[in-house]
Amino acid sequence: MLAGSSLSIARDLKLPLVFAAALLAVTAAWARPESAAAEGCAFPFVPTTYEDLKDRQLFIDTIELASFDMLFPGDPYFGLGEIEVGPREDRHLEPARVPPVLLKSIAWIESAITQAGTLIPFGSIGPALVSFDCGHGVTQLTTGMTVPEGELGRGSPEQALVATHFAYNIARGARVLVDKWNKAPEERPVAGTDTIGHPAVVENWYFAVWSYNGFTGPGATRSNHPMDPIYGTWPRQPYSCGPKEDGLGHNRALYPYQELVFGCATNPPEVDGEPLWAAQPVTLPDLNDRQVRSRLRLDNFVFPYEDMDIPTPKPLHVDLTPQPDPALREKILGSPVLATHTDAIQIPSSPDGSAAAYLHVFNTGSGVLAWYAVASVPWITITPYTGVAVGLDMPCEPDVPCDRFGHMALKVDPRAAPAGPKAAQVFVYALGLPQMSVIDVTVGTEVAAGTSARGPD
Amino acid sequence: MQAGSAVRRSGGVAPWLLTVLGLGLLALLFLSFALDEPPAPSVPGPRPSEARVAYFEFVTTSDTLWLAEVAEPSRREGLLSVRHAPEYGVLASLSPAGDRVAYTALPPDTAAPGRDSPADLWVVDLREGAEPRRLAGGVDLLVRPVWSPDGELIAVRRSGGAGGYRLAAVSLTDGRERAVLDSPEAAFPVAFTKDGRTLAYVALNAAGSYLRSVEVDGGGQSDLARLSDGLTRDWALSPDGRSLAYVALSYRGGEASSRAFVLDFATLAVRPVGDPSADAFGPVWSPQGRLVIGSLGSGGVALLTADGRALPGPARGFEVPLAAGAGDSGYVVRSFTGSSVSAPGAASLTYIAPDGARKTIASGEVTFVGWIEP
Repeated sequence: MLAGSSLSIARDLKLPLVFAAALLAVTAAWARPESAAAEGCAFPFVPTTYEDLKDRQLFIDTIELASFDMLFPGDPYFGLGEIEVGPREDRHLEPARVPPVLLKSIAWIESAITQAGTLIPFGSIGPALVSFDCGHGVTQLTTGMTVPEGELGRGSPEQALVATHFAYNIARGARVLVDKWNKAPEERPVAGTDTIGHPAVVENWYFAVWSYNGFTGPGATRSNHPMDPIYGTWPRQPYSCGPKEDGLGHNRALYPYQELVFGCATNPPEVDGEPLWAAQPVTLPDLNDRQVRSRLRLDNFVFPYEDMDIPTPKPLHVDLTPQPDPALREKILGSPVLATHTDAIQIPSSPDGSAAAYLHVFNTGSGVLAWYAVASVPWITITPYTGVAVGLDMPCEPDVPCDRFGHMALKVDPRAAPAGPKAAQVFVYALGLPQMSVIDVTVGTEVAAGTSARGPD
Repeated sequence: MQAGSAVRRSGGVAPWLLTVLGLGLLALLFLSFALDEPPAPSVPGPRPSEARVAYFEFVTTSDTLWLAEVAEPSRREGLLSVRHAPEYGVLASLSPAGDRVAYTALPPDTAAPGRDSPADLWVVDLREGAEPRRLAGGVDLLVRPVWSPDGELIAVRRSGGAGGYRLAAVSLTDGRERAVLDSPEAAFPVAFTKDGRTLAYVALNAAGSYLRSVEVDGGGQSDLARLSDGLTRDWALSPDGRSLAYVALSYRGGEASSRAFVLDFATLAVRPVGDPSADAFGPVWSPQGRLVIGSLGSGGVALLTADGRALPGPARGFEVPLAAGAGDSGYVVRSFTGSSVSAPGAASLTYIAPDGARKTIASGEVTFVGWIEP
């Protein structure tokens, strides 16, 4: 509260003290661990992940690979698949490509191109970014991330990859964007009625980008209808991700999603004074044009929206980002090698099941290894059952959390465990790789509640 | 899938050490305030004897509430800095008495914030030294709080419940909240009746915009009028409560236009106001019931009053009215330097004096809160 004097106090000699105290308070707050996962999402815990350096170069390179389907081509979940091209009445399939600048802009709007939580430093390892509505990671995927989809009520391996590994998260985000495109014409309007709805035209992604955030209509809190009265300021300046002094709009509360993304492509964000990508002009539909307005009228916003088709906003643009060097894929994904600190472990027995044994996962290769653990019996619980083990080639900034190992606690559920001697196995998988470790598990003699068998430091 | 923070920390220092250092600095700061006289502001603050305007200035992680003299905007005072989720500014409204501001804001620590992230409702007294008070959580950020005439209730909207949308009234006296309406249709609170017992709201569905009312204490609902077969916005109740002005995106004979209308509650007649060939913006009422709208068309730009009087437009660009002063004391508008809705150019908050002279109140990204009469 600055009541009682004008803000000229900020020019007073006390300013440095105010700033220093505030800075320390904020930094102290940031030093707290990330909050718990949003309830009801894919996992009952927040899996760990690797966070890029501040320049985001690794993630931006990954986005370009994903845009050209060069990360996991052919994978039914993480590959781009095919995209529908052509006028509403005559669509055909072509290998999918996404304008890279759109994926970069989406990633910036969604997460500022970060995979880890907002409290996690750049160039470090920590809990993943999970939003209140179960958006995960760089592309804030909610599709397929709101409930556990694996066996026995667990998050699935695919969900684990989305949550823990930036490359899979980005690849899946690109695929979801293509899926949104492919909802036209059956379930979405077509943008580009005069350009055969070709996906090479950036402007033709208008409805797909809108759909990425939800093809919601007028009045909804998440409405992306550009004429919606929920946007209190009309008309509005173009949105910009650029410097605050560029004379454009920066308050995201005032814009539908597709205007944020298109504006960010045109006016890219800067990090340490350098734009994250080359500005790519993208034209929005002219809401001053009576034909466009007529197409977006309220009574046209009715499934399947066929009366909302619009011509390509002019001037049209093509993203001329060159196709990346295929060798970049190997550099980004590395060659992870799964290892565990032991192949046999004993869980102390305790009447209340609180005693735990800890299993540690290593990546003796390179890149990020997403691991996923499964017990052979239902009476062993594993927490967390997924996370990352990070190779030494992935840089961490000095003095930030950078625990490259994965850790899990193994416990016995005394209510479900059989009487007598107990033995089982825990399988640790390297997701996306043909690697697995098998850990033999035994249960020890009973100890007092709360006792744990610790692994090596 | 929603937006995130552009602000990150660089980490690595022990929290206890930071806390100790922070406390030490705060103690030093306290001492420095205790020992010194308060600094004289370099610019005089606004005089309560003059008309003032309240507005929030948007910055990435916080908005500042300013109070400035309408006619002499350099006389301004920063009242409050509101921290919010990065990139998402506050939405605010002024109480009928002009003494308090209600606003919605996303908590600063919202992970991956978006427009649909749960927002908090706050109220702050504009009197010197008052602290903002959090009244409710989980409200819709983008739906402007609506005050009851006596300033005792604030209507907000919640989304995502079983009914789809809930309009609720929050008491400033005890902070209690009562559900007023659960609706599957998108509903926007517009205004309370003078006795505060009924809330008028606009419901949107595929057939158009409808003005309805609902008893605040859980009574019946009434259909009042169909405002348009399309989208409407910028609903403004006249000071006497007898008319509602609004902008509708109309479609007649295949032509689309943005026009201003006035609904007469006595007759339920809807009449257009302004130039039918021009786009209309932001209808506002003066305290005496004078209606003014912005107009942008082939015939040029102007502020139009409902009686057909045109105030000359700016040298360039166009203007959207935000408030009209009592008597003939002028207007506050949002000025755009561009020539069309699709290319509006730079924006600023501007005062238009009765003689047509224009004075910039604030440039950049500003959320208008209200005009405060002396």
